[in-house]
Amino acid sequence: MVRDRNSRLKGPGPCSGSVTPAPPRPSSHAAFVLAAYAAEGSLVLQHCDECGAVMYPPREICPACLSDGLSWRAENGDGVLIAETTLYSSTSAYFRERLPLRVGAIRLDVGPVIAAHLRMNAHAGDRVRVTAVTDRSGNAAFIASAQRERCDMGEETLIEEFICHPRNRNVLITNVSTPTGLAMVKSMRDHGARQIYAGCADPSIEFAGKNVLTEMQGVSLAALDLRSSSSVATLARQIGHELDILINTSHSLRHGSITCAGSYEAARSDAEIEIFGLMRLFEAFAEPMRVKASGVGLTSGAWVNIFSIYALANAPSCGVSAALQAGAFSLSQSMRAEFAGCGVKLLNVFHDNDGAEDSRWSSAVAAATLDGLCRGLETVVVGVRARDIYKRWREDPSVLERELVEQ
Amino acid sequence: MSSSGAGKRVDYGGVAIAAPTTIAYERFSRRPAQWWIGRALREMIECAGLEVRAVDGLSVSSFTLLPDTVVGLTEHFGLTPRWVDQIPMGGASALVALRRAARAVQARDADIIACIGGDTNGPDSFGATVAGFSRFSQDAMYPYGAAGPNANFAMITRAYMQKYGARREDFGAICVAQRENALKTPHAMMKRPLSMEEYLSARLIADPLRLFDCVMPCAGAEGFLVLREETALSLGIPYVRLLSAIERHNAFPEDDIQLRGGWAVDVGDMWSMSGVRPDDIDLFESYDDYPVVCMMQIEDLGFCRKGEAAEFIRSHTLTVNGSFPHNTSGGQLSVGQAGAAGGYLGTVEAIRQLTGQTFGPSVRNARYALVSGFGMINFDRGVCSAAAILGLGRAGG
Ligand SMILES: [Zn+2]
Repeated sequence: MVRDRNSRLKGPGPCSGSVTPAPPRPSSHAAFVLAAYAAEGSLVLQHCDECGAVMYPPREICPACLSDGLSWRAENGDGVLIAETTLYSSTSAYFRERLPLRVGAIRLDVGPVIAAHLRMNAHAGDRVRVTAVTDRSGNAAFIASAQRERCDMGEETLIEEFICHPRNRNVLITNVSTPTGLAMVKSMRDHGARQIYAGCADPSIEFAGKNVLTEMQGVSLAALDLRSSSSVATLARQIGHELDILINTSHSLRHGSITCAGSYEAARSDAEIEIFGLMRLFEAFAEPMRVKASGVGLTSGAWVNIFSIYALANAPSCGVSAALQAGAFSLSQSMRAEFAGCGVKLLNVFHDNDGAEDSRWSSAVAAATLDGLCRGLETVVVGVRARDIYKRWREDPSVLERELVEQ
Repeated sequence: MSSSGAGKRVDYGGVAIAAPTTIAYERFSRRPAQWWIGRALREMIECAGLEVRAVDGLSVSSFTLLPDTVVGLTEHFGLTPRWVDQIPMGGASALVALRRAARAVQARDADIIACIGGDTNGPDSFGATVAGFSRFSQDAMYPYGAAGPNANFAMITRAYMQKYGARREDFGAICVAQRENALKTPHAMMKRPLSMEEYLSARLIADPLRLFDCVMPCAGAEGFLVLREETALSLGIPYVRLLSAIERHNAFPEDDIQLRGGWAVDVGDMWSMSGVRPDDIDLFESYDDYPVVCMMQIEDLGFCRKGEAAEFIRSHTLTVNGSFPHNTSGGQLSVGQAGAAGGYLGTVEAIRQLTGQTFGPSVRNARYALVSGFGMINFDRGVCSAAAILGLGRAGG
């Protein structure tokens, strides 16, 4: 990964002269912990196991009792904005392009004082709620907004950049011939997307909802066969340079254990979409999306993968398909690393559907994806069972593996 | 928090401070910190008429010395000291170095200690210092606009104004008077007079701070020698006495926002040890990274009650010839902030004033000076505070 990292996604290109600088990457273990939770939308703070003190900034040792037993816990982020300023100057090239910036100090109800970006509606003395989000370089960043009214998100240049609301953005949905793909188109259109490209392997073939799609304003069918490098490359040449959001709805979980007859052939065929299809997409679209997101104009982009929760831990009843999604999930991690600092956020959406996609379930996945984009998340988990499995995976993947065998 | 320890502290009797040294500041320098510190060392031993080997102690402070430490400097400069120290305390460096060196010469662990603060300043080094300043600031301040001290002191200044009724003009009075003082300091970064109108209408840096509320980073070095009075007398050099000194770190961590410093903990100890009173002080060299910090020091060190510094400033003139001579060479706000040398500027100027070795005008018949230091914005407030009262020992030519 270290080898030639710069020459691939971040090499000199036609737009490299205008590429916006990024803030420094996180460097401490604590910064990565904060970021990993912020990626899920959680604000976590350290609690002392011995005396209960809550602390910030992150420490190795409790300042109240010198214990080294410190655990991270999610907080609701409520507090009072005790001081604020507007920065008109910064030592960092990245922030200089985003001035003026409002920042403040918040005394959280649970104890510590933290620094945060301020929403327009937050002023000194206000009760505020602080949320966590990851910034362009993957640092956790806190944002404070007043509790008493809704935010006006109009002129918050920097905060807008942490998130990727579909408003006025161009979106590609890689496969719309499924209920999920269709629901995704509707959701993006209903929330202001400018142009939606509805991908399907062969636009001349009929599929459920096709007539609805073709009648929608701002939606156009796009030929996209993930099994074909030339198909993917052709579409990327046509629309890659204007794309802000790519939603890969091509993953699907199939039943079938590793012992089933024909599992090898099925896996090989599915891998063309699940694994190699994702790689083809990345190869063709990552660079133009990076250029768009890091060009002038202070924008941001997002790449969304829709995965089964079994990408994280194998369920033997769909063991082969889960293995392919695990491979794709692993690829998504390296994609996130490649996108770091360039303004394209990688969002993985995990669901627990293991049967037919009905429209209610599909709408839930689309709604969760929209929420993830609007909150700047990098991980979204949809469904009660998926959330349960995700929680157990965070706690101990090796225990989860054994538990899933019995289900 | 109480300042009292188990018993009365031993005084600093017999300690002398001499050879105030300044290497003329430059806005940017290609010379590394080693050069700036080495130049200061040479100048102070020449000033005192010493051989290099007579210096048996070395204390340095620098943000840009890495990867070297004071140990590397002994080999670099050809010194064989029996006492070395490195004080990473920014604006509190000189006073902390002075306290430690004073005890070392009292105990005869060393005879002559060179205390030096020096830093270089390349086009990017200020940003690098801010970015790498502390783990807390990396984790918890940098993601918010590379905030650095400007954001913190903007919030502190606004909170101070709201709580105590200070006005922009009160901060301006500090800055305008220091500029007048700086016009006679040959190496000052700021060469032109500053009017109140210019101060008030300067461009915003971090609301309510404007350009002239902030120091200009530069390269430079400052230092002095710490020795025993008998040694200073035998060398025949001008010197001052150390009457009292305090330091405190991470005081009042429970305060929401910093409106007071650690001086408030130890101020009683400082005055009682010195044997003088606030009225006896002829000049005050405060730490002035931002004018609100000067106000905090005027209060916390006992010149007026808490929250009354603005009124105190309105009723005094702060120039060299004024009723309350303050930052008499122009301070960092007008001379520049040469990294850790900024922590030395006030102490070196106080020695110059008391011994009659100033660059520009001197305070008439000055006998006592109060010097204060403040440093290290680890997260959202300055952690280190220190102060010392100096008295004239032997005046210069
Ligand atoms: Zn504790």
